[in-house]
Order: sequence, then structure tokens, then C-alpha cells
Amino acid sequence: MDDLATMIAAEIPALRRYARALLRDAERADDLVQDCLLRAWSRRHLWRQPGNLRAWLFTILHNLYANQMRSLSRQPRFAPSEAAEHMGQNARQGDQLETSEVLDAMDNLNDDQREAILLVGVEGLRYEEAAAVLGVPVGTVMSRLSRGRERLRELTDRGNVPPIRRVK
Amino acid sequence: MSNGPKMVTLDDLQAYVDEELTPERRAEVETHLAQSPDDAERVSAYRRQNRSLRAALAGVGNEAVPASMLAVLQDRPPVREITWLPRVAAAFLFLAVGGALGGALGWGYDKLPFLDVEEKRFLREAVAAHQIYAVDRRHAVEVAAIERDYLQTWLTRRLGVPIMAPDLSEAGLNLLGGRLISTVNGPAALLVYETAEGERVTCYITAEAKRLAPGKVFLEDEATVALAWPTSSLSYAVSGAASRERLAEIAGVVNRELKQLEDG
Repeated sequence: MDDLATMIAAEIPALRRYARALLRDAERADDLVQDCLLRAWSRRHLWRQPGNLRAWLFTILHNLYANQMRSLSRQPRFAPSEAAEHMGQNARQGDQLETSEVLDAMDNLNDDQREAILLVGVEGLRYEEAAAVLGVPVGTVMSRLSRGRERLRELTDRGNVPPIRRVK
Repeated sequence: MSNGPKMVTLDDLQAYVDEELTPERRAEVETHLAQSPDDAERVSAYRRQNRSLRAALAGVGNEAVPASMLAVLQDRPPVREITWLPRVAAAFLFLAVGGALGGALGWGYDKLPFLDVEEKRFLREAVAAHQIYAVDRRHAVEVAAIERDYLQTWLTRRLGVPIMAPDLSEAGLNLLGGRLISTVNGPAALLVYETAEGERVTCYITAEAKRLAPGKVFLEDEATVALAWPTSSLSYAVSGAASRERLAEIAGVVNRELKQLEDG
């Protein structure tokens, strides 16, 4: 592998973490990352040093994710019925998903808020970087953080995580 | 929230947690937090959220990176931009290489690194349709070849693009008939062909040429080999329990016939 390949490979764990948090499904998340890498590698001539490689990769991942969500939104959506909850079934296929109250709570936020919180709070991107990745002004990133974190606080600090989760 | 020189907003609290404030503003926010237990609690809640999220996701970052991802980052021949005839040759090559590598590394088509999600989905559908319908001796097709014109009209109407059943006699294949397949992305057509010995080959067609990058794609799944490519308006795959060479030969005839039908 050449230098750029090595540098991109070093970002794969972060890309997988981000995709996993968004999709909550290991296989689909890895498919998304694979697509992201394919695209990045085929367009590597567009990336110029010294650039922010990490932000560039996250931008590609974000755009692929947004496209996927757009096309999914045109298809029927499913949610677990209450009966299913009582029968102890989980709506998600589950052995690989991370079980955690905070991730469950995150599923109740919209994608804009989740992406802002993950990019800034987990991946440690600066506001300007997150704004570039998401294609919005810095002020929008901040208001998404404010709303998302407040909602998350309502949900987790008061034990209010709704049982019915968003299914994508 | 009105004690500081400038009111401390919710956005300020985010920027405080995320260390995006100037030192001056940071000092102002700290003064404010010392006097506002509610906002101090907010700030610690935000920090708790970050910590729990990082902890919940820590496992993913530590997993071994799949080989298929690393394989993307190695230079390979650009299969995408080859014209049709060399493309068949390239397909051969890739099949051979992919087959050898796949065998050696235990890759199923799922793991072939050069297929994106849409391409994999298309190929899975093509192979699934072949495996389900081609083996059915009596009900492989809905409309038999004797009604070829009707079959083409019907499939054209349902898919919304011209669907022709190419004449594959040059490859020793006779049309048995066709059927409509439902997929999550809409209708697909399946044309079933048969050799004199009763071996079946199917053509799987969807109306989305953009689903496939030009000049690829092929896969093997157990006994079934599939070869897919885009035409000007369609995504096309031929599948069969045949050798790769044979399948590429059939694909070549399909493409030639389709071109003739388009031109004529």
C-alpha cells in the first residue's frame, strides 16, 4: 500500500464506528463503509495534500448515508408492534449491535442531530470540520447539537427511552 | 442565564463542552456556570453523553478491519472503463483472478471488494431468481416462448423500458419463456433459455442501467455463475450452472443480439 492507502486505512475504524452508530446493523454499516472506500479510492486524485483526509472521508460517508436514507424513505417502513415487544422480540437483528441505553436514546433523534453529535462528540471533529462534512453552516451544527443533546438528556437522564425504536 | 457580560446561550454551552470557545468567552461561561446549577448540570450531562457514546462504540473501533476493505485500497486494473469486447476478456480475467483468489481466501461474492451495495444486490437478485425458477420444470415461466411477441410487450409495459428476448440460438439456447419478478426496487424480468440437453440459462433484467458501473460484474455462488453488465437503458445479468467461458460467450451473444435489435 502506498502512503495515501495507509492513511485511509488508518481512518477505517472511525468510519466503521460512525456507520455502526448510524445504522445499528454491523453488516449494513460495513457495506456503507465499503462503498465509501470504493468511492474515495476511485476519486483519490480529487484529494490533495495537505487536506483534511478524515473530514473528506466522513463527507463521502455522510453523502452515501444520506442517499441511502432518501431511497429508503420511499419504501415502506416497519416498526415493531407492541405484541412483538411483549413476545420479547427485538425489531433489529441483533447479535452484533451495541446494546446501550444511550444508543437506544440516539435512535429517537433525527439523523441531523445524531450525525452532529457523533461527529463532534465521538469522532472529535471541530465544528468547522463537521459543518463541511454535513454541508451546513457552523451555526446549524451548533443548533443541531443543542437540540440533540437536550433531547438526549430528556431521554436518558429521566429514564424515558421509548420502547419503540426507529427502524430503518 | 443573564449574569455574564453577554447572555450565555445553549449554543455557548455546546461550544464550552466541545472546547470551541475563545479563552475570554470560556472564562465568561465558567463564571456563569458557577452561578447556574441548571446549566452546570447541562454541561455535565453533555459530557456524560459523550462518554457513554464513546464507551458504547469503543468495541467497533477495536475490531479487526475486514480484508475486503483493505483490498479496495490496492491498485487493480481499472475494469470499469473497457469497451465491450475487451471487457469480456477483462471479465474472464477478473473471474479467473476472482475465482482463484476467492477460492484461496474463502471469499463469497459478498466479499468481492469491487462491488458496491447496489451491484451486489442486483447480482443476488439475479442469482436468486435463477436458482428459484430455472430448476422448476413445469412452472419456470409465466408466458411461454410461443407467445414471444406478447411476452415482450407485456414485460416492456411492466418495466417501462423496451424488453426484447434476444435470439440466443447461436449459443445453442432456445427461449423457453419469461416471467415478471418483484424486487424492492420494482419489477424485474426473467427470461429462461434452455439447451437441447435441458440445461437452463436465465437473463435477469431491470430497468436501471445506473445500478451497474460499466464493464463489470460477475459472481459465483455455489453452482451458479452470473455475469452482469449495463446496456444503455438496462441492467442485465445472465446466470447459469455453466463455466465462466460459456457464460461470457452467452453474454457476448446477448449483447450482439440486443445491439442488433436496438439498431434495427
